[in-house]
Amino acid sequence: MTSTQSKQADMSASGEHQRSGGVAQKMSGAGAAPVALQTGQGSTRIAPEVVAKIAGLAARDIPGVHSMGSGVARRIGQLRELFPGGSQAASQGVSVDVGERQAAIDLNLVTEYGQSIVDITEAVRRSVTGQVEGMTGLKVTEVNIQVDDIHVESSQDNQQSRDQ
Amino acid sequence: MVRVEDVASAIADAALGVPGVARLSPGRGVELSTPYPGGKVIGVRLAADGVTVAITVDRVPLPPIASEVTAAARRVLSAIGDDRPVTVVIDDVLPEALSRRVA
Repeated sequence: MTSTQSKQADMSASGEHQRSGGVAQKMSGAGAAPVALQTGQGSTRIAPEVVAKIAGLAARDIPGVHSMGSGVARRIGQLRELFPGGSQAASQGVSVDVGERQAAIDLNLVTEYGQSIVDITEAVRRSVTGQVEGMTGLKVTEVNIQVDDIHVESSQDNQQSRDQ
Repeated sequence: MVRVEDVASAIADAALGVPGVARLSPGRGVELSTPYPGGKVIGVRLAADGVTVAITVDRVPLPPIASEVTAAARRVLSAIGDDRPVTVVIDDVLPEALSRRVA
């Protein structure tokens, strides 16, 4: 678990207004305040894997995201799917940096051919920020997206692809 | 705060309510849509610098339809205090439009 100095530094600067409960979807600009992760009765720590899973699922929810992970990770993920009960890890293609109150998220993804990468990445960023902030109470400082590949539909892929 | 998908579908509904609009269109080339978790609104694109609505029409003349769609989208946006410019793209005209004029 890593927490960078810069994150610690601007933690004190983050907002103080209280969020209403629940996991309501939030817009990226809505400025969620870090909620009761640090209290007088103790503190809560959230493992990076938790944030990575939430972020991975939130990103896959967006139509136009074909799959996630860099080339090697995608190959391994495809192999895992061949085994009974095997499935691609939800956190594939996600790496996160979780501090005490904030998280930074890096995503590797493959988009569908014919769709605007700008639109897709904006929607992914909004979805990931909203879901992670809503479910964990961590403030998402940044979502960096790398589009590794673009998926072109072909007859061969139709048999192999299980996505979307 | 308003959700993007709600704004996009409200604009889509408003545009579809204008007489002469047969359907929304995904545009030519790169798909014109607003993706959101679990789906997308086709024919409406909300970008930082403006809102684009692409339609297929079933009657002529085109200018009144375009201006009414612009006005309808503007009404939705101003209701939430959004002053982004609206661009309407007439993507296609159904054959009925032309036969209707002859008739």
